[in-house]
Amino acid sequence: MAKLDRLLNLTAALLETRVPMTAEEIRERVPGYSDSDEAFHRSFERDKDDLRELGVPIETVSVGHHEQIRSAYTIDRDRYELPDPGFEPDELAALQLAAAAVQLEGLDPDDADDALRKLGGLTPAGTTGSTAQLGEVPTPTSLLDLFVAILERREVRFGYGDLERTVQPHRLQFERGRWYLTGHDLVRADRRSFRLDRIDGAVSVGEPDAFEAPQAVSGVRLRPWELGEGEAVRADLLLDADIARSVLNEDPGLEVIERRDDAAVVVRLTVRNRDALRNFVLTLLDRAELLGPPELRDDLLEWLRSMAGTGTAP
Amino acid sequence: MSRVTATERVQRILAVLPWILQHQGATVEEICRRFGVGRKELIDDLEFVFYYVGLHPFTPDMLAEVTIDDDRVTVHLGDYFRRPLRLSHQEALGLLAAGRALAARPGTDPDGTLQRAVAKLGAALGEGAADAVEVALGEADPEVLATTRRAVADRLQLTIDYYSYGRDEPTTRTVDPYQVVARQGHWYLLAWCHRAEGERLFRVDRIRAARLEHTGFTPPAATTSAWPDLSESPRTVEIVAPSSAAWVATTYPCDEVTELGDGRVRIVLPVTATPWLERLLLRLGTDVDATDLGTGEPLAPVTAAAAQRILARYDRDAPGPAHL
Repeated sequence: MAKLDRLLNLTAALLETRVPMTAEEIRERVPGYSDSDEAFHRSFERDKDDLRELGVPIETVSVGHHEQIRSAYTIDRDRYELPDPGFEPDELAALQLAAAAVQLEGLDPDDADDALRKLGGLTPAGTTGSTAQLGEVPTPTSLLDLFVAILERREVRFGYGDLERTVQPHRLQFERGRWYLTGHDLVRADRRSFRLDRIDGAVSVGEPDAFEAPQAVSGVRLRPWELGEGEAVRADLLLDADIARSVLNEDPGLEVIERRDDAAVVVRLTVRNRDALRNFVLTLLDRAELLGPPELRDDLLEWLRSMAGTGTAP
Repeated sequence: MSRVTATERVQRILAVLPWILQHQGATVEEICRRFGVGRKELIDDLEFVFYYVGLHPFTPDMLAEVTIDDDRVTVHLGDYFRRPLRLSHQEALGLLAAGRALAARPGTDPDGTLQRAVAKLGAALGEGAADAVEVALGEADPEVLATTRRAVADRLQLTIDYYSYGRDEPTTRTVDPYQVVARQGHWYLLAWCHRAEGERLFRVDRIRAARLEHTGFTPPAATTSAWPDLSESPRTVEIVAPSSAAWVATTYPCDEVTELGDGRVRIVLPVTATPWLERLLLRLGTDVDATDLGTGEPLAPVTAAAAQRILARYDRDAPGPAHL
């Protein structure tokens, strides 16, 4: 039991002290440590490690005069204490249900319970209803580092497509089965999105508070035809009723300019990358039709004629 | 009883004490239920705090005071344990991601309770935390998703208008819906399909409409497999294309990818449905040799037929007099 009361009383003492305490002061004020110097230092080091492992933010500062500098320890209350989120019981229950339903692969499922205990405990309402797992989200190795970097506004550096990138990270987004990081790329001096599965090797993380968090963060957009340097052209695409719903479900933000009686729809696309537009339209086979502009329609028809073996036909 | 380490007990006590301090007089039973601890463990913890926890010089006024009277718990101690410890980064990420995945979606969060919870959680984690993570388990029509989930929960048959992407074919089928799950960025419905007379996996975003039937069904004790193999006997296709076609290898599961050294790449991949193959070949263009490795036949006719079918549609609808 000596270990348990040492850990609790050490935490209480460091939270309560106004002045950082040296190891000797701690030894005097926290009972349970050995009289032997060597054994004391060994258990004190281990206790600090164990508490830090639990997330207790023990800080080390240097005190004393220049002829005798010693380490002293304290816990900053602001970094220790969880602000009260002010949950209503049904909100906490909803969070508990969500944690049971969706899990990040590779994270310890007990983490969710530990987190919920800190937030006010598990509620019976949170275990009623369907606890069947709804989804599993992959956890790339860099995900946690990038998450911490966003929270603490640290710049990150990583290899990506043969280039070294330095990015102010803003948001992580899981979209269509993949994680993306969106942030400000300092080399390109522009907003960029990166696929986490294409990051080469480890992410190195800089100092905290290196930048200001942006006011509004828009996420990654998965419309390849918008990604290009060319001048934007508006293209209208007719989607047959059979597929209109599933195309719009995949990208609910598409601009619908016409809904026909037979449930077909016309969407208007902003095109900067013509090859990407052609590829998209081709995946819809004969259930869609590029209505215009004529030049894009002609490009597509020319492509198809060359494939149909009629490119040279009269 | 499993053995609990000192650090695990510390973790538990640091979470339970602040709650008791805010809810003086709560019953032992409620605390046990809420924190998932047994009665004996909780009372051991409280006795431990009573006897051992306090501040130097550990005179009575510096020690904790714990009473359990008529099963109700009261604790007095200095304000050092007034709040729980902040969430670790893993705990925060896991909880935030789970909450964001389901929040504010009518199919999963009908009254927005979870959305409010996630906003409060984000605020407690720090400025900007709530926006740091966005998780789309899959896009789906909220009404269809809600109806499908209800059918699973209530064990009611469902009739769906389904667009089969692989076969490029719209169908209407009645199914016994077993389970709705999100994997790899899409929602799936695992169900017994009465039309196919077998278990099938349906992408929820390809269900155009879903109608609840009034017929119940009994789900099997265990589905034959959570991920039934939906493939028809696949054929193996070889593609030799300029190396600009390397995207195929990073987009689809391939059996073999070989750089041929002359600026071309050879890709071997399994293909189940013809429309899927058509989409791939149409995008690759004319500078490609594709072969069915099973039969040895070139696949150019497949591409040509698909291109002609699409062209026929454009000819039919062509504006202007060019095709009169």
